[in-house]
Amino acid sequence: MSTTAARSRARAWPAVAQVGLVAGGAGLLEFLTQSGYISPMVLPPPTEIVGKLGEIVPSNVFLDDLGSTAITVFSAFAIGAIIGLLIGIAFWKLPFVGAVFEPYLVSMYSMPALVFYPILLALLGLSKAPIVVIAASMALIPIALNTMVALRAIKSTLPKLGTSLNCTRRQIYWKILAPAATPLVVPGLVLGFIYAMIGTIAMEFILASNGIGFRIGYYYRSFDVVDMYAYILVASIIAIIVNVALNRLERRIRRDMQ
Amino acid sequence: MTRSPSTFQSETHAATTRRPTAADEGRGVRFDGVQVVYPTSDGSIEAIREVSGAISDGRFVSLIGPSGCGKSTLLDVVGGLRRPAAGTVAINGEAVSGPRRDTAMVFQEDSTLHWRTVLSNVAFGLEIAGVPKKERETRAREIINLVGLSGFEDRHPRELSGGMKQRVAIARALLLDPRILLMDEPFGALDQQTRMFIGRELLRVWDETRKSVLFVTHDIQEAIYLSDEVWIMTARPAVIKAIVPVDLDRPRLPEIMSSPRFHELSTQVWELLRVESEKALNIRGELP
Amino acid sequence: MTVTSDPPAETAALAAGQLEGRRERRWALPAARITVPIAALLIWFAIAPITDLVPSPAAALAELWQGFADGWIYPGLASTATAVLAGFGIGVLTGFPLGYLLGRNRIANRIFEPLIAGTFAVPRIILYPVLLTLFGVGLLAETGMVAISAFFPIIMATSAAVRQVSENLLKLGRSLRANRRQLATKIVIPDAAPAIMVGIRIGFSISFIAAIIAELFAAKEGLGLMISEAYAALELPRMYAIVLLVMVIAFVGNILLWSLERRLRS
Repeated sequence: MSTTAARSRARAWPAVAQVGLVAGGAGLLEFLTQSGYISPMVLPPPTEIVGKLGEIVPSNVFLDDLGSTAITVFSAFAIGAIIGLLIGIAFWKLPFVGAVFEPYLVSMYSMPALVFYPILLALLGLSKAPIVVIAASMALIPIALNTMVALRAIKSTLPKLGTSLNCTRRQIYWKILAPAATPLVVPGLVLGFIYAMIGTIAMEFILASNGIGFRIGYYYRSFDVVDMYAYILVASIIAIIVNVALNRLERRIRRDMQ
Repeated sequence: MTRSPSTFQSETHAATTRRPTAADEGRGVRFDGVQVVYPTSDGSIEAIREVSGAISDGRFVSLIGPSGCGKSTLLDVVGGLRRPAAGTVAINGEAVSGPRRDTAMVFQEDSTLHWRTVLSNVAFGLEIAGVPKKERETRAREIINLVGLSGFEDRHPRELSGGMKQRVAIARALLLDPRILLMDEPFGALDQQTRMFIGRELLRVWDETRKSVLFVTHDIQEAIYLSDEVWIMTARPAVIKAIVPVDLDRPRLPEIMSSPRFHELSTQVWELLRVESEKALNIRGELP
Repeated sequence: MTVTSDPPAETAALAAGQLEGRRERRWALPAARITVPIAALLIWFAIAPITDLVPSPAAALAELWQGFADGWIYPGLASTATAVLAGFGIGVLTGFPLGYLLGRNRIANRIFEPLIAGTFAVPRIILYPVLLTLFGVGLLAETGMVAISAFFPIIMATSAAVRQVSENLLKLGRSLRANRRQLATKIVIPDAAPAIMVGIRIGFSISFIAAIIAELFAAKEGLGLMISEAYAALELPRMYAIVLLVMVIAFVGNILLWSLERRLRS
């Protein structure tokens, strides 16, 4: 048993180092702020920020912001996923159309779709709608591209197998093509969700009336440094948790399907 | 198929234990109790248990064995890319402790540098060794001519077929003018016709240069056609099971493959190899 | 007998295969691709008369031309360009070497890669207030924002690209007794170059986006600030003109880096 213990200890060393690094960094900042090397107007002591975090998380303001941001992210993701999947399937079914639009779709990755935000604000007013449009348009790109690639990558023997087994069209789609494409579609969906989240928080940050991103900008503008840092911290923690959780989910699905 | 493999083993084992004659002493490659162990996440795997033997100067030796038996590992040890857990490999009397000037390797997969032309690929070894550009390119052109790639000097690897890429790799190795050429299944990724053709080319070049060659393959015909000796390795942990001397006349033409003697040798090698391949498949659970 | 008597059968087959196919479709695809932006422009023309919120393309283009003729666009353009180029430069100069280290050093990789990858979903822009409190509103904070945004895709792409260098080529390098520097400059970096370029291209796009977002939030000068000022004053043709300019710059920059990437790939 001692060998397995030693082995798991050997596997855990990077985690130990990571925790050490983060704790060390926080400790250093604590020292620099407490001793006055860094002004509290620039960075309050980390302990103070974490203490504030404890106050913020149960507060109604935070829960309302969180709910608002979550609703925006989920609706943007849902719209982006549906449109993205449809585009991906269409580009696979109609290769010429796919070839025509693919470079535009790819370059949308790099296009500051976000600069349309003021235009959408002008068109749709200061509400959730412009944010949902931008975030959904960011989410749909990886979903569409991955779906197209996933369907194109299916070996031609698989549908042939279906035909040879007298599958109906419906069965070929649902029992063969869909599961065969899933391992590559899922990463697209994961990326799409993350983009929806990044887009939402970034747009809220620029201009919105509530939401986590908005609150960071709001506290910056009202010179409330401690609250600002606490909100930046909580937004980062949420994003990291979502990222890690989705990656785990993706790995599990891919492992089960492949 | 009537004689048991063990008969062959005792018959050919004499070659393994033959003491080197005075003329051989120190020349070529000597293996002395080479053992190779791979560290893995749970413990270690013994890839090669014990290999001893000698390749005398200018001989063409093929190493054949079941897949995953450690042939390439042994080649890496000679090339100085891997240290044995025990034993030594000596080249011309010097123990190998790292990559050497007098060995050159040709790898199984494409090892051309895809961003360079054929000429600059072939000259790459000399470039690393610090030979001036003019000199190395003049010498590279000669070797390119020798391996039959004249006219392709300025092409990029993507414009070449698999067989031509391997010729680039062979030319790169030959340009270093090594005493010993180490070839790790160099034609493994090629189709049968290309293999035959490039094998004949290799023999022609070898006849002109007479390097010592250690050639890893899993193709019995190829091994016999090319070699002076065929070394047969066992399944992991590997030892040399037998050495089959190939007593066919040189220069050899592909027609020799239909001769009765060639057929005899093939059967002999196959019989020795068959048991080991079954063992190897059993280890990997591919046989019931 | 130094030259092979029979030409390698492989070569001829290869040459024949490469030239064939796709010839009749050659013009159709680019033609169809060009119609896409034209169609978008036509839709814009069609929508403009319906609503006051969308100015006509002609008005937006005229405004843009005015911007260059009168010169009111230059200060903002120069400011944004400075922030993007300086920040992107810092992102490359830090992200590339650190990415190389991360890709080649197993220990550094095991420790830092999960930390960096874990923060992938954190919108970098929320760090902008930190930079603003540190440097105040201005070019410095904006450049810092751009550098942070460019750094992550570049370090991640470089690390992954370097790690994917073929084992065979590394073996070749070692067997030729290449030293550390030769291994880096003659094998690892050239082999990884196309994949590194992908990261640099994405890094550039993100640099540009980051600069515009940062300016939309708080800046002294810049195209993003001009967009939000035009929005606040409801000068719609001007707002559309600047958005159009930003898109064109992003598109051209991306195409340039993409063609560089393709040249490396071949």
